[in-house]
Amino acid sequence: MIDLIDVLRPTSLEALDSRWRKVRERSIVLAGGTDLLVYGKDGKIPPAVWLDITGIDALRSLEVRKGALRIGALVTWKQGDESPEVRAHASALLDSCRVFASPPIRGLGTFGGNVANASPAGDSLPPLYALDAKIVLHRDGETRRLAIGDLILGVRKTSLKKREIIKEIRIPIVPKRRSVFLKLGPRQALAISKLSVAVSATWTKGKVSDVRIALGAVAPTVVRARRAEALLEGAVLTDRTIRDAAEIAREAASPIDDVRSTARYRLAVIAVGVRRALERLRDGQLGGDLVASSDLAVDTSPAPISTP
Amino acid sequence: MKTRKLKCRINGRDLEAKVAIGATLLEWLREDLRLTGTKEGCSKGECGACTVFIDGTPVTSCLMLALQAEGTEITTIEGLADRWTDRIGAAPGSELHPVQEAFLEAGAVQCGFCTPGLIMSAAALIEQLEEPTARDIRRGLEGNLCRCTGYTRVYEAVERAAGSALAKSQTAPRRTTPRKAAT
Repeated sequence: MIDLIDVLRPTSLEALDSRWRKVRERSIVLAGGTDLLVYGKDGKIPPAVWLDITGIDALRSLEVRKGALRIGALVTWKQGDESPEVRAHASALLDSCRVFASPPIRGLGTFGGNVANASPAGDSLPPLYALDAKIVLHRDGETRRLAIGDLILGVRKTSLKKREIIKEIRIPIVPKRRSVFLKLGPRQALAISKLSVAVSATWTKGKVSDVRIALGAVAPTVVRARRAEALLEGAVLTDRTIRDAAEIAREAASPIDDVRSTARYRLAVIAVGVRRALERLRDGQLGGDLVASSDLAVDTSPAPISTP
Repeated sequence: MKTRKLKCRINGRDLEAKVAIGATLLEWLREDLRLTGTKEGCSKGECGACTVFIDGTPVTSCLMLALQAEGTEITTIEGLADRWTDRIGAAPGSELHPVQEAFLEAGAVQCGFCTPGLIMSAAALIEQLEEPTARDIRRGLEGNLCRCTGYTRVYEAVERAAGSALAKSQTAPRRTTPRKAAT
């Protein structure tokens, strides 16, 4: 039993806006609940009015329109895992679906929730940073858009205003762009990342441009390894250039010692993770791309790195 | 605690009930509906003992508020066999789900606490992938922890079940379009 004041379950954005305006007490937004209910049961959430938004179907859409992949805030990891659109245009995000949590958690958890949670180790985040995602926010019938790097400010801190929710994640469609995500954890599943890496690049005549290298779990937020990105801009991805970029990528990180790992280990392993990710990117070992059949539920991506 | 009305369909029956607003789906299933086949192992969504289907999708029921099941179709372990017989056009109660049969044949049960959750996840897996590879099976069950069996017979059971389910669904009056797994 969760100790809460009330649960409101609006079935439209309009109802959400009008009912939320009347709430005087502390309020909290409930989507998949896969993080929130754990805290709630631990007594870590002071009594509040819970706004259950899972009844709002408008937040469940998943489509490509006007040059962007639009992922509604309530789209679940499982839906992302099975989506041809995610496979085609956001391969790194597909990779993260394959190694995130576990099947029943993926059936419940949402991308919007993962972003709003803003955990430094959130697995959807490096892919979204590497894919230049914009987040559409909704408040009182109005929307605004922020680059994901402007939405997430720190550990579990976002620039969401009062009574504002994430409505949609928008990923620009870029032809000839590839992306890869991998994570390092103690197990193949149910593991919070010690390190996560997402890389993306666009190919023109064998050279890469618009390189993105996003690192997770090694700073208060996801960070981009900009010097490493600049090094690869316009270059050919060879063993040498990849290795050099992987070494420099470490500069972007400011890891800490915590229950999962140490700063020293994380710094050391960033170079390994970035190198492997760039190699997969170069060699075309992409989340959805390996199989001739159209079946999407099969994991053909290489296994995540696990600690020995 | 405040209560609110919940309307849903559970194991094939429409239901309208009053639920405590702070109750998890797991608590409501076990304590109010006395459907105790679904177990509470960790309360954090990590062990999978609480796995049920919401509209055919396996979820950790300990991490949902009961109220979030509004308008959905819930299947618990108690309803799995009926869901199967319904699907293949057999009489209710005439047979177990292929995964349940296979667990019995393969000796994949020891203390049995993880078993309902494992069976639910396995059933969902073979519904989605009619010919799962060994890797598919491990992936599909990675959210269900077992302390007794070491998983070997569990995986054998799921392989066995996939084979028999495929055979049955091909001779049955009603079936979905097969989706083959890549090897």
